[in-house]
Amino acid sequence: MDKALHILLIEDNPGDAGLVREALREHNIPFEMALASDGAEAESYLSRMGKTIDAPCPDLILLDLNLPKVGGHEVLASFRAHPLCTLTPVIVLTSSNAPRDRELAIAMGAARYFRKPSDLPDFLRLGSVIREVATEAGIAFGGSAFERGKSAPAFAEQEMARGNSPGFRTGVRMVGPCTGLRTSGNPEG
Amino acid sequence: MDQTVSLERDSLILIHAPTGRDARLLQELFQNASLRSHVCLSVDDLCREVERGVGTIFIAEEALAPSAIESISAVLQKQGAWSDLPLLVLTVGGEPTQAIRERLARLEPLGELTLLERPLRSDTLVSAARTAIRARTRQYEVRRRDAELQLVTDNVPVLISYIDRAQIYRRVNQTYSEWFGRTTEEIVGRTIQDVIGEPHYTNAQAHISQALDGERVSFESQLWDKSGLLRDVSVSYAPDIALDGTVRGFISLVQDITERKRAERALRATSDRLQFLGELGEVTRALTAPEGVMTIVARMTAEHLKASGCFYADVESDMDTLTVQVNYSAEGSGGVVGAYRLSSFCPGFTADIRQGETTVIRGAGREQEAEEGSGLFHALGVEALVCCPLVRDGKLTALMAVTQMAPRDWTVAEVELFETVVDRSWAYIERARAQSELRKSEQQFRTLADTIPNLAWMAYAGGEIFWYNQRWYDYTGTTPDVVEGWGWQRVHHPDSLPSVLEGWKHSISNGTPFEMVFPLKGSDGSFRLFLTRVAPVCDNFGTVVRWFGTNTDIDEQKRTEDALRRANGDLEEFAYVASHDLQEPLRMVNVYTQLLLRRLGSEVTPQLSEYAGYVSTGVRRMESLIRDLLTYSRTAHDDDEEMSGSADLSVALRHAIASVDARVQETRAQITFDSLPVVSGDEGQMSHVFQNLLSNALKYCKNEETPRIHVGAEHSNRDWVVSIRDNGIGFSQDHAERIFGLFKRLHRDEDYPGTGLGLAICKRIIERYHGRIWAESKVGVGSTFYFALPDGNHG
Repeated sequence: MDKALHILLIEDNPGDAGLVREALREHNIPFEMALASDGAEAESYLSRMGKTIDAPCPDLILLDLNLPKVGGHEVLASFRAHPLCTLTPVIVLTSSNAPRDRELAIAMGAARYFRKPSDLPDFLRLGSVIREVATEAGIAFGGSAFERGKSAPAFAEQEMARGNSPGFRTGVRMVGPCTGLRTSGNPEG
Repeated sequence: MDQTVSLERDSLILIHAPTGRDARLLQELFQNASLRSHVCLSVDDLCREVERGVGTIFIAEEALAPSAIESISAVLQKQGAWSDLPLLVLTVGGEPTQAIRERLARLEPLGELTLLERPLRSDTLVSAARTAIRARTRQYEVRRRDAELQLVTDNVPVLISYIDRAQIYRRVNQTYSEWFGRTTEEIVGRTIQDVIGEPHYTNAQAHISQALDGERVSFESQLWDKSGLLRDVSVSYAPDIALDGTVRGFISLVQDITERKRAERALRATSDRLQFLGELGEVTRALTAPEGVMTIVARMTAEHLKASGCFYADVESDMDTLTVQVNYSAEGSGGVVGAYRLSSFCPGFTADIRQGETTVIRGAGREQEAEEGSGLFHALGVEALVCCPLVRDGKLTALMAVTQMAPRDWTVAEVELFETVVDRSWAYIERARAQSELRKSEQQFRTLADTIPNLAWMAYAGGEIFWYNQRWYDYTGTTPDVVEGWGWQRVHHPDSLPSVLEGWKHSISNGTPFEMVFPLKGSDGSFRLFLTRVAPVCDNFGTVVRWFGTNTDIDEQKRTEDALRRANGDLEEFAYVASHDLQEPLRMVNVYTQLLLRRLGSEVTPQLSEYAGYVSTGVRRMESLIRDLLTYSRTAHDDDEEMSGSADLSVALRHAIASVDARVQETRAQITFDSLPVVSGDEGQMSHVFQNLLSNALKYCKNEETPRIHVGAEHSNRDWVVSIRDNGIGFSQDHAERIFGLFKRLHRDEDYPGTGLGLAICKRIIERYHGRIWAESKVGVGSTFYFALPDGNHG
């Protein structure tokens, strides 16, 4: 059975949440997604994380910076402060292109900074970014490139080949495996 | 006098006993007693030997023939006063004859005569010879000392003489005789009166009497020298007192002190002059009225130079009319105050004065007799004068003169001193005028300062405030007695006072302007913020004499500024958020339209594609509108950092050209440009202006013609004018102003897409840097857009 990638998506816009799912499907990434639709929900998830069945420790976090109630930067800081999430890869999603937001996100340890594009193909490229980040972090999942090989759809292959998408900025990459995270945080692992 | 007598001859015995064996016996006897002797066979021989030097003479009585006495007397008289030659006469036993006695009497005054009666015992003879030689040796010793003394005194640059009781010169040194240009012999033996002349003798007479009374006397006098020059001398008389207390005479020492005296006089003159000039400066320093300065200067100068008068006159612009303003007159005649014509005076005098030269008249009657106009000097009671003109910028403006009612031989030193006095007086007057002007302008300033809305005050150079305007007292509710000097500190806030004091003291010690913003307490006890500016006021010499300070109430202004800054900040935040929040829904519209089409797949009809295209175009147009509005709102307020920078327009243009490169390729446009200046502004924003203007030029080009764009720059009247000229479709000049308005467009979006904000943004940027932007165009020919920016060299 394909192992699913456990993703926590913190995003207030249901439209964007839908697009994230489209991007994952587009790239044949098996996933299980928890959604926190604002900062408060994210904090609540964090407090339950690893303790209840509905709040597993995620393999990867997708974080929208522009959140109601509690800001994205604060949420990121809270997750980083949690012992199970110190090294969990985080991809920041945002419509802001302000340099200060990008710099701050990178400084706080985000693996990628993905600016939400207004073109569908550009947005769908998020799938390849997620695959890339998961691979870098050494996370094994059913749809990962090692197992699936060339079985990824032609569309996704083409997007990968184009390399730098205008939709994201290369930032600080996470180095080293997150072993502790998977054994203790992922009951299925 | 033979000065070269050898020591051997001092003890030589001459023997003259021509008859019998006496001579040989004596010689043998002396030889045995180790005494040297010489036998003279004749009187001539004896006289020759005496002249060569001799200890004593043994002479036989019988050899004293009258002719021999004569010869011997002659040779002995040639001996100096020091000589008292022992003469031992060997007589025949018994009383000498009368003839012999007479002969011996003739020899007596010439030497020390001893008669030895024959026959003689040999030891008596030897003893007599030894005694005689000892006496003679002492005489030679005296003579040598005397010669030495003379040698010394002759070489001393002091006039030395010995004068006896009868006031007759007994001895003088060579210096003495040289002074009078006479020989020693011409002086010795003559009286003082005879030698030094009547007037000097009269001066010295009392001193001579004192010396002859046994007192030491010193005094200074004057003495004519051989060339007839009167020289200063110092004289000392030392009395020569004998053992019994009687005064035999005195030694006179006279020293030439002419040079010393001259130096002393010069020194005294210099120090008098300096002291006088110093006093003059001191006295006039305190005066502020030019007339007061002149009065003092005139009086002090006339008194110092012992002149009859001193006056100061202004010369009118015609360089002829002169008005005597100040006149000091020693005798109180003072009649010269009034107006005169320079041309009425002697032409020679007038010409010199007009040329700015000091004019010296020693005797108006004497010198100017032949000259027309000399009568005027007489009429004024002026016989001699020194006149110094003041020429400024080539024009005679004033003159000052010191006058004498009698002819006077002004010395060079006096003329020079007067010139110095006059030079300084001009400076003193300038100083006084400046101070008087300052006082006048201060008065005007005070009147003015009471009417202005600012608080204003004045301080002395040292920082003590001596005056505040009425507004100060109205605002602070203080009174002069508590705030004058340094009392103003009471209306300052304790938090800001230390830095105010520090800055103010720094300005005072450096003479630099002071500027600071700090609160001042009002009469109601509340503080308001003031901008304080203090400027130094300097005199002509650059010295700070006053400080002028103003405190401007900027409390309201400050509050407004703060509010404006907050509002600008809010606006920025709003614009940012608005653009973000406006763009988000657009993104959703666009992305989900695309997703829908994707999901429909083969079911998409051409019509659906077309509709989706409208959605997409609308979204893009909305996006660029939002982007431009954001840019426009961001240029709305000042950012200090951007405002103070400088922008190289060449660099800005290069960036702009690079950003429109795609369009340039597409249209094959040719862009040329001149070298562009550096202006104050932000390079990024200037680039934005170029980018907008270039893209307009590229957008509104003719399809049938290659677009040609030229960017030029010209310096014109403190501005740089930059032009962007194209050969595009152009527009009617009627629209030239309208096009810079918000959302003003001349074309349909389908033909020429655009937001209608580009030129509004350009206008906003250029005006922000105090520039202007305008356009000139003709339909079908092309457009030129201009913008002018200050060149930054004129504050």
